Amino acid sequence: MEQQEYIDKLKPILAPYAKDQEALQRLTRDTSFIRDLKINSANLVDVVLDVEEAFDVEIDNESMEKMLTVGAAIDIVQAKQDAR
Amino acid sequence: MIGNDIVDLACAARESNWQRRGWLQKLFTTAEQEYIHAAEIPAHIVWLLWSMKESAYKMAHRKDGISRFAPLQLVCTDVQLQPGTARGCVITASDYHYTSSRITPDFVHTLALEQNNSGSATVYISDSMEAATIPGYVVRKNDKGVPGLQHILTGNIRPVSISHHGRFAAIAYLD
Repeated sequence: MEQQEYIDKLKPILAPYAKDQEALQRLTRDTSFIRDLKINSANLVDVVLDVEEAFDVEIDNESMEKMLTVGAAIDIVQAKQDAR
Repeated sequence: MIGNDIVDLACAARESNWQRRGWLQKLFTTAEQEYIHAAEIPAHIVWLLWSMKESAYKMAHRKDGISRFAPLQLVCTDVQLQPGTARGCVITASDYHYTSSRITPDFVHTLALEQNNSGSATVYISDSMEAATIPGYVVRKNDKGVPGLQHILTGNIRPVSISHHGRFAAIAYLD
């Protein structure tokens, strides 16, 4: 999958939790879930669970710790997919 | 050092389904999950423990400036629940964070401090953003996003922790 495909697949996952819908439309690898999208920290776990379901991967606690940006999420998903 | 966190319980009920499969397991240790399930009102304990972890995280972030999402590394211990209040301690690899919480039908608020002495800090909780200001001070964030209260005249900065959720804002600073 290309980077843009990942971003396009992440956008609808993030949409229900993003309080800043404009930042959601401008989504890039650098977009921060909390600082830019204004996602409530308690919803980060929903993002992690949704990403696990959408990409059929298991995100361990060590990976989850770093999953604070779009780019980090893509890298984690790619690494898990490559490891299969 | 200081950290605080407020949870609007009505907003939390709307925005989070804590009974979702896998949700508790990613946020809470086995002992914490058992404590939640044994509670009279499990949802209140979910948000109590969450606000304890969040307030401790803010305190840790103020110290090391590192952003991370590692709720299982913030372990809630010694939770002493009283009607309307709770005290406890959140342990990380390097530190103890002593917490004091208020639990109302509308919100849960937790203050985290280095010492077990909540009398050394002032907390304002309000249901409007405008009231969450301290006369004579402005809030300034440093390059890591850590806020401070700067005195308008002297320029002195004191540590402050600010939390918003739903209808509520909370501001806590060291005296």
